[in-house]
Amino acid sequence: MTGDRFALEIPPLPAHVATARLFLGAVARHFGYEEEAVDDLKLAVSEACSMSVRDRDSLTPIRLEVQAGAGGLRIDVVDPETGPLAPDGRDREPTPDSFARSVALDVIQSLFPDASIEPSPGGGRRVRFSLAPA
Amino acid sequence: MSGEVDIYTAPKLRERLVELIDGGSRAVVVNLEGVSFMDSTGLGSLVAGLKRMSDHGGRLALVCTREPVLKVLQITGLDRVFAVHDTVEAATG
Repeated sequence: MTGDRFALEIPPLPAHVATARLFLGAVARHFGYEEEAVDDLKLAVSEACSMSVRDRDSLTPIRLEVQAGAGGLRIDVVDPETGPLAPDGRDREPTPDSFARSVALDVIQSLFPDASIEPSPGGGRRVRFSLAPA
Repeated sequence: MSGEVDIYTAPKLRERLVELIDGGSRAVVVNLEGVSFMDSTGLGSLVAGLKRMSDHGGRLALVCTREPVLKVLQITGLDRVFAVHDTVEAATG
């Protein structure tokens, strides 16, 4: 595996989260990952992008970066505007948004135990996780 | 239902469930066999539907055998909250 880098920017709008899944799925298949791993990546990136879409008012793009190397794939979902720790937003009523807010990061970390959410070097926040080589 | 259920499409699922429950349905089976992808936002619509149905004393069950959808149900523990069946017949029986 070479040190290839793939990147995509999407507007932080609900309709574009599917674009992020397509992109990451295509990159993973390019590197020979099985469908189960592809499905996990698509779910994780969908959760990470949806977290940003829910938290945002502006249209500054969300940036997806995939670094492919000997260690596998490292995925960054960079939101240049949202703070590193979004409000928890747990509500007593299980509205669709409050449920997803409360479990999104747990879902990502269940799939990718090394997943982290931290301030992005360029501002905003970064969700990062990685996948071992296929 | 079919396709992908995410932050873009989940509101349609939620609206449909509200429509059915508020229209008097007290036993609803959501067939997820045609759903190729669902994330926590999609699950949120199902959770909201289940809550609304429970408030009305009704029953909401799922039909699902597709691995990606089962997996997100399991990760979130919702496979123990919803009645998940292999077939519509089993869900309605």
